[in-house]
Amino acid sequence: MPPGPRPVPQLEQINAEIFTLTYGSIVRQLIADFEDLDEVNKQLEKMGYNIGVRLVDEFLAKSKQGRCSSFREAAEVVARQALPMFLNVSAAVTNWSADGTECSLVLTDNPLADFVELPDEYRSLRYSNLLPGVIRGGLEMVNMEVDCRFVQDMLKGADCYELRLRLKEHKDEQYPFKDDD
Amino acid sequence: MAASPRLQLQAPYPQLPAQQQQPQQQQQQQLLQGPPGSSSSSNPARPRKCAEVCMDLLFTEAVQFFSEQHYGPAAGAALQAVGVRVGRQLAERYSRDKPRLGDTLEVVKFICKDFWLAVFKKQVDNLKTNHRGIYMLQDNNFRWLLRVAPAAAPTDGSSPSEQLAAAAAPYLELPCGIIRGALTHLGLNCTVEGDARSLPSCALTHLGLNCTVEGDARSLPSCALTHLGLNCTVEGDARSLPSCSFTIKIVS
Repeated sequence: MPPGPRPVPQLEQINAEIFTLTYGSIVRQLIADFEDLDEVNKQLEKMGYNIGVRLVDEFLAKSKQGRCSSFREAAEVVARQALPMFLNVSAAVTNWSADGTECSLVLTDNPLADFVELPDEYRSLRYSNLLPGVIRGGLEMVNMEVDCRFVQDMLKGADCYELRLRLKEHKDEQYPFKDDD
Repeated sequence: MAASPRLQLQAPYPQLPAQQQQPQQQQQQQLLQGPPGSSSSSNPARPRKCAEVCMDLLFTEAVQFFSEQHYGPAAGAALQAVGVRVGRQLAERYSRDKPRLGDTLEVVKFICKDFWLAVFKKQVDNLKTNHRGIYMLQDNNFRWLLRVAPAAAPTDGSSPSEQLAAAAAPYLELPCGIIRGALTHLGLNCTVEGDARSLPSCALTHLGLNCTVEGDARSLPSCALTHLGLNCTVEGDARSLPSCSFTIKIVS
């Protein structure tokens, strides 16, 4: 694959506020249904995972991105291609661990959290927890099992959104059909 | 369910009318104004955009999720509740710079044109009324349902259109909630029924029947009335996707 930046393909756009408001309403509904904020965090991540699993197809189809040869490359693709393509925001990839299995994705702009203010009693809510789920789901579809979570949240007073991305396992390309299926 | 007063979604524009200002508003503005060149959502002239597929997937995942979490009518009620909040907020924002809407017909037209365009990317194709408080909005290519299709041919003796209606019903709850939320915000007490038919004549008959439910797609009307305490019910019913109609009945 030729190295270097690619132009970000333009997908059909909508006003993000519908997306943002719908997401916010879903979060509120989850809070009403589950009450326990840890559970809400889990459910948001799970929803994100389900979305990510499908979103990656869209990404691969539209970006014509070839197979990432490394976790490092995958992280860059998420930050520099996928996020801009879908959310029109980009992230920086920083804070790599020595063995190259952990890094941070840093965003200063997060459409999910537009218009939102988090009162103190919701401090343990990871409001944008859909996003790490999406990343986890997407990467799993390209055979990278990762752990992704927010470590900084602007809704809680930080000056950026930071996602810590940790590679758990990079599976070899598996033959899709098992003998015993 | 009662609206939670604490986790609030505030409008992004700093210049809100005075009565909506709260002490926390100042904090939130600081949050938005953050690093230079960050959020474009605080700039009314250039609304933030995102890929449509994000909304599509969020929508379908929400339907799946709430359908799994709840059994029967409660799933529809949850999806409606999600929609109603969104509709209210959207109506508030889209009608902000416009003169106050007068009569019922003006409100319905606003929904059919500006509102539908902003939310569903096109205008309503057809508006009918019986001049006695019932309006039918027809969208022949309802965007949110473009990707919804029945998984298999019907096995229980129902017709394909009935099967479509059943499959699509949960997907109509959220849009119906959005419409109803918007209408309620704009001062109309109503019921909104979502119902997809391909032939105008069928829809007219539907109106004349005082909106009895046809097929098994309806889970909500009475549930919504009591559960949410609003003078609106929303019923979804799709028979010929992606074409669907929304029937608004004014009750007061």
